[in-house]
Amino acid sequence: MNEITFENEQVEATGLPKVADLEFEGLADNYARTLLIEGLFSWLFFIIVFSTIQTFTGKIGFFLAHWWFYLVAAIPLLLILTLPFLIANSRGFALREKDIHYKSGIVWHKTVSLPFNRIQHVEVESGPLERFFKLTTVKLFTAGGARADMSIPALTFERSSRLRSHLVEHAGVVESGAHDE
Amino acid sequence: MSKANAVNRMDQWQRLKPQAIVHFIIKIVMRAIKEAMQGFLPLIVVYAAAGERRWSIIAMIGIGLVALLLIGAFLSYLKFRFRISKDSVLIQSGVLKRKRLSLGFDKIQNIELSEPLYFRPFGLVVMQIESAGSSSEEVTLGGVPRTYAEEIRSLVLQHKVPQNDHLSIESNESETNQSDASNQQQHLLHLPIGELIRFGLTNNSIWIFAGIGAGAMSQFEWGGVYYFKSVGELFETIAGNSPVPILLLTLFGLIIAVVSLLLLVSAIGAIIIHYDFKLSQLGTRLHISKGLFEKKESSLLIPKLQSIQFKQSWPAKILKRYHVHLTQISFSKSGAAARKSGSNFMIPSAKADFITEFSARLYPNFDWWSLKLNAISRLFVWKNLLWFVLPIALIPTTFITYHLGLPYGLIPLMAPLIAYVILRRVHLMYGYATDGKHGIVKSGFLGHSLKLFPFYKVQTVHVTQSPGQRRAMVANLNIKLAGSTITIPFMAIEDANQWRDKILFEVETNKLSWM
Repeated sequence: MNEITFENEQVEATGLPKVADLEFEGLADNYARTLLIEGLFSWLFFIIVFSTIQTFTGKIGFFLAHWWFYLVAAIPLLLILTLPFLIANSRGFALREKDIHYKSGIVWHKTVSLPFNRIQHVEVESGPLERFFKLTTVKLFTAGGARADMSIPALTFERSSRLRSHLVEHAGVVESGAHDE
Repeated sequence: MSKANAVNRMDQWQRLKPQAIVHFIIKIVMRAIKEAMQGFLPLIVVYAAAGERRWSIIAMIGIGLVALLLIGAFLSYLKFRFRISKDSVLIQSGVLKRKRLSLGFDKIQNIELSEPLYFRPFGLVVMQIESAGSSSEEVTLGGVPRTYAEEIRSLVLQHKVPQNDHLSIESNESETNQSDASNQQQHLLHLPIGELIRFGLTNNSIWIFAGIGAGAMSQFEWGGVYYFKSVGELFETIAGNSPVPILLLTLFGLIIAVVSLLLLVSAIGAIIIHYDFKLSQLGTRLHISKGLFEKKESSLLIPKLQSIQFKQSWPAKILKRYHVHLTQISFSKSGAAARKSGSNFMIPSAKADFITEFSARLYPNFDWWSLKLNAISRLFVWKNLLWFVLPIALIPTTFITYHLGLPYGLIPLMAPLIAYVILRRVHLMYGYATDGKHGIVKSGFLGHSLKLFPFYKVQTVHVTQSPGQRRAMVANLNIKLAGSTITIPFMAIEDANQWRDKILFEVETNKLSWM
């Protein structure tokens, strides 16, 4: 390719650790199940709204009389049943000595890399459904954005507290080092 | 010794100069206009309801308000006291509600001095202290003698820069430079009025002004109606006995007149805001002073700089000038969200040789002009056409074909052709290069912008690939800095990986603070 040439290119290119070669750890086994339940809940919500409108106004009878309506309605259900497994499989993270990487996306593969010494703070969250499955989400914040720069879902309590303390420890060490200099 | 004296002298409660009352009056009036506009509504009621005596009542209310204003300003002046201790600025203020504030020197980001017209005869300035905390902690001292303010500023900012902070100027060259450069002011740039006019003409924001102007026009509805009516009549009288070309000519002339008026306004605005623009460097600090009616001074610590941007809009391209934007950071209280505050730190109308010299000053080891910029993949054009432009064009195509028939239906399909030309141009404008420690990214359409940043300032790196991009071995690279995001689309995958690995290596090994 059209590379820029500078002297130690070769050495650096081979010498630097490569993110592209990383092995990613998967998330919790029951992650797909939580996504599935979440999806079914939203599906249920739409069904309820739909049937309420139908019972009170009767306007939707037109749709119910056509076969294609059922086809259109079946597509989201099909997605809800299949996507969670694909999503859960596509996500994962990798820890290195000095940074953390998170990959996601079924169609658009995305990898976020975040060095420990840029972490501003770490949050651990757990929604009602997550609590039921004993899972948590770890969110990492840098100065790069107002929202979380990386959020790693579906970590068991034990795993997330281990990760959190690891991150906080490393973020703290590097950060205070930079200040004290 | 003299520094210790200065500290002692400042370390006691003191008032602003009496002229500060003027500053308080203006501040109160501005706040009333901004926040309590609806408070004036009763006046309208009085006007409508009071009958013949309305004017005397309004006059009395007016006198009352003015008296209140004067008393308020006077009390604010009396109750406002400040004190500079060894390591913090202490403020006491508030008439009804007392407020005490102490701002540690280490939390102070920047001190801006401005010299409004009404303070100029007395040699007083307004000192604005920006803190790293929330905006409620920002402090304004209106009415401080200039020399005194400068003393305070140098005291605070010297405290701010620890002994070995020259490290943060990221170069080995700085060590040799340091001894002679740190203590004397170096003048880098002074803009004559001609340059300011150039800036006014090439500044993109005149078109924003045009938008605001149109918006303001629509506010004055009855005035607007009258205006448009008269314009309409004008056209009618012309069109009534004139052929179409003359009508078009008039229209054309009108547009030219409006545009040149806008350009004139913009040029005058540029002169007012940037009059006597001076850029200088003192140690690790860049310093700007400018302004015709209100002289503004602001400074920026070079180590806090996140990225530089050289912008060249198409009119600026014709005049061969660049506008330099320096991006800083400042934090909200939570510490997580960074917002841009350095947007006002801009160097207008710089020439090409200044650009190279200036970037060599900030990033001494980065000779970006000698690097060859890599192009992004051509897939950028085709993917955008196929996935965005074509689907959007197909909607009106089907609609029009259905209603009007085929030949008309094909008209929206012209859009992809035009889009192709635009996308091709955008594609050609993209470019990127690195020396392993810094990156440069070029982008644009008619004009262009060059973004320079050292790798160690980066916060996070994202690499994204769609299936098509995977097949073509390209990826989108997203680089997040504190306050801005840099995107390189459709970059060769090995380049994207290399950039990511190098950025992470720099961030993790470079001992310099990114803040």
